[in-house]
Amino acid sequence: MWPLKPKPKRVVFGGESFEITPLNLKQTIELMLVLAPHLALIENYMPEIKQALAAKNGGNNRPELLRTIFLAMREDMRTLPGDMTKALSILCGVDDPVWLAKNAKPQEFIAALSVLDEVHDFGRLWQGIRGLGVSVGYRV
Amino acid sequence: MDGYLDAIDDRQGCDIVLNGEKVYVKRARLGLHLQLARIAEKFDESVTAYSKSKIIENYLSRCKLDISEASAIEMVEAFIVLRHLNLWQMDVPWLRIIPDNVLATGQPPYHYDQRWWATWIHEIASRYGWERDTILDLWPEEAAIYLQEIQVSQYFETENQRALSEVSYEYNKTTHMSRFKPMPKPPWMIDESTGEPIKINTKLLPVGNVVPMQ
Repeated sequence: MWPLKPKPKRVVFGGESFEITPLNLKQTIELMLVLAPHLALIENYMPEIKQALAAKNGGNNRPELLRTIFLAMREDMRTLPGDMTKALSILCGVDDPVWLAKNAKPQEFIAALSVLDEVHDFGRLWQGIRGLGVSVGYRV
Repeated sequence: MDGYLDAIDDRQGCDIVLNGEKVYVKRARLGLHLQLARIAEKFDESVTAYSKSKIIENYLSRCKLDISEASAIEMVEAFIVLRHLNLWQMDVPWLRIIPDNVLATGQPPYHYDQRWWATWIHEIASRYGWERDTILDLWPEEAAIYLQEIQVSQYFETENQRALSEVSYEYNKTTHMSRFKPMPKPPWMIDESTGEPIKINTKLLPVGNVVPMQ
């Protein structure tokens, strides 16, 4: 019997359903370039972020923890809508971040967090951003 | 890396994860090290995500890694780890002070790009009689160490030859005496702890036989 193909992960924004697929290299680098300047801001919440990223995927607390962190960061993120919407559009595979900014609801974003984390592994992405930022500083 | 024996250790390498499997990657020898350093520099200078992603693929391909089925995050992690692995790992005194001709803006007419590396190959080949491929197969720090030893030997050989000629003796017309003037050393060969002796006016010196405390 052939193994069943895993069901694709989907999220809903603005009433439309989007299939979440793993990022290719170009998209990963693009995401890192978008988020890297905000590293210092996000790392202000380091103890909670560290705890969330260190938690194993099977841990029940992780989606809840990520939700709590992003809610707590809401005030800071108000000042940078462009980059966070761009990052979200990359994570969701949506070509038009402007459409996402106009139509996505905050509740939809919170609901999509756990699915995005499961597909993209925020922990590894985060370490990748930090590592890439550090590696750019290497000069012989 | 602490010294020469670490610099020539064959076990230099690290583990990375590609296609979900652990892969052991050896550190790059001099030839590959130079190529990877150029690629890494292009990565820093590039601005678009597309060009950066192509450069990462190029970097990993040069390390002879099969990335056809690797995930994006694995490739990024591998690039970060390998870039750190292939950094310069040892403080070689000769390289602490980069010669002026490497940084000078007014290059001589016979200068060309990456001439600095060609001089490495030329110096080692001239001294040891090795072939280019043999030299490029050295560890980067090992090549720098050999170059330093070549320069130290050249300095002392030249100094010995110079000491046999009148060029190294400065004639003082007032005292009608010759004084030996040693050949100036390059900055990295000078012991900074022993600076020039402080000159004290003879009128301020104590009376009697003054013995320096050295």
